[in-house]
Amino acid sequence: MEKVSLTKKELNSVFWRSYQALGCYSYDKQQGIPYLRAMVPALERLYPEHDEFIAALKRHNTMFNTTCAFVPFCLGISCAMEEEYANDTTGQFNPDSIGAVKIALMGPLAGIGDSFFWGTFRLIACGVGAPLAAEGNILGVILYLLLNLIPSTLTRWYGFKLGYNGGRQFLARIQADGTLAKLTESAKVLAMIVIGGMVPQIVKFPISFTLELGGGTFVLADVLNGIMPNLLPLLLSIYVYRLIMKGTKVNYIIFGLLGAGILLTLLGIM
Amino acid sequence: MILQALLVSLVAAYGRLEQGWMGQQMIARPIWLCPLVGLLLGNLQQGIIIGGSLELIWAGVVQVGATPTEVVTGSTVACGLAIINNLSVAEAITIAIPVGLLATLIGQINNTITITVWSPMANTAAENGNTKAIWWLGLAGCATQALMYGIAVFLAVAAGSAAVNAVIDAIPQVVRDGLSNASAILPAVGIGILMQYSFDKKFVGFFLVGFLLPTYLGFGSVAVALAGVAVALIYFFLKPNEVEDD
Repeated sequence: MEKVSLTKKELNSVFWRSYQALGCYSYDKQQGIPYLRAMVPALERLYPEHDEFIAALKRHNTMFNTTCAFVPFCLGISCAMEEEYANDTTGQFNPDSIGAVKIALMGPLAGIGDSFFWGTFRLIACGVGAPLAAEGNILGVILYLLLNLIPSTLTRWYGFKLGYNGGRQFLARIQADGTLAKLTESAKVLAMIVIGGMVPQIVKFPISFTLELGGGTFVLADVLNGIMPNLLPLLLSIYVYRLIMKGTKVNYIIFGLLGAGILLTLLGIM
Repeated sequence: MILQALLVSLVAAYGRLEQGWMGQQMIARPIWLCPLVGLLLGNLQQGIIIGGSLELIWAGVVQVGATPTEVVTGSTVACGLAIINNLSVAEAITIAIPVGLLATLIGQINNTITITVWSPMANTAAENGNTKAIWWLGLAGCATQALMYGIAVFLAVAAGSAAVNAVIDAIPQVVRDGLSNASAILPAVGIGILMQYSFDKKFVGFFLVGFLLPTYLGFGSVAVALAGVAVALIYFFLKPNEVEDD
């Protein structure tokens, strides 16, 4: 049997289709339909036989879900495995393993991906860009875009290459030697510092309460500032975090703070 | 008015397509969509300010799992109405929050369409090897979603301006001041949600370092992020690998 292999053309085509990973998100298959859609160019090339082609389509018409930026990595692995299976003459390769690897990868990758892309890069982009934008500086918007697009584009492109060229082995290695866990923890360290830095920059607690006392004026804001600047924003942020951890609905907290703002203004404290 | 509503609805539809067709690169957010609304309505500056302010409040609201609020609709409608009616940032925020809550309903309608219509069609297409159908079905769910959100935003902006003006005028001054003050403390919600992702008792010191840098040393947001990268590098290289033994 002649060896069939994927060319640059099919691989590029699969890569670009990875961008539509959320093009048809459904409760039953989540990103499954777009994943199938992305695999089509590779499968068409590898299985000229009609029956084998249909079997391959069905194999990928299953539930799949992970962080979007890691979808190309998974697609790369699926392409490599399909290529291996299409050329297998020994009958040793069980096609069920293609789906099994997808399922095994999507959980851990979503865990890492959500903490990196939602929890770290987007957060840093927001921490850096939003305060600037809120002051009307367009640089804030540009920085926000770049800080999100650069890591995600690099992850997609190199993830796809890595996935196709032996990504399974690589992932198993960095997971086994503890590098992956350490990387995730370092991202959390960075995120904690950025979040801590956001507190004084974005949470404001304007206190206007003053009291005439005999000879002088008691200015509450000055007293609080004397203890520690930004004390109230810090305490409020920690309080909100604790409420969330206790399971209070975020929308209740938002309306609670809106109410508190009006009440404290009425009382002349804010 | 109709043209303005149409322009805002295009931005909302783009926001949906960014997530579905363009890889969800975390940019279908107030900080990017509001400047686009501002640009199309001829007030880029106000769009940037409203976008930055909304981003601070919704920093923690993310599109994974059950969403507490729909930021694409909330930010485009609020920003559009605020620019058309010359509203303040605080007033824009007051509009954005309820709109964002209501709009989550549209997402649920679309999820129902996807599972009852598109998903079974995809099964048939896979069984018949109909690659053309697979091509467009893989895009269909997001297309219906963009269309529905676009229409909803168009109606809200077209019908809303007069109503919004009447409502805003009827609000007493003290309440308006109160809302303005509330918009100063609301970003605490964003911080609280973000901490859920990364907070770990053993990392509390890093949180404090981050807090103290701007408080006492006047670090700006970029400087804090760079200091954070330095500390994360120290952590990565000094922490010994914990090898899984199994």
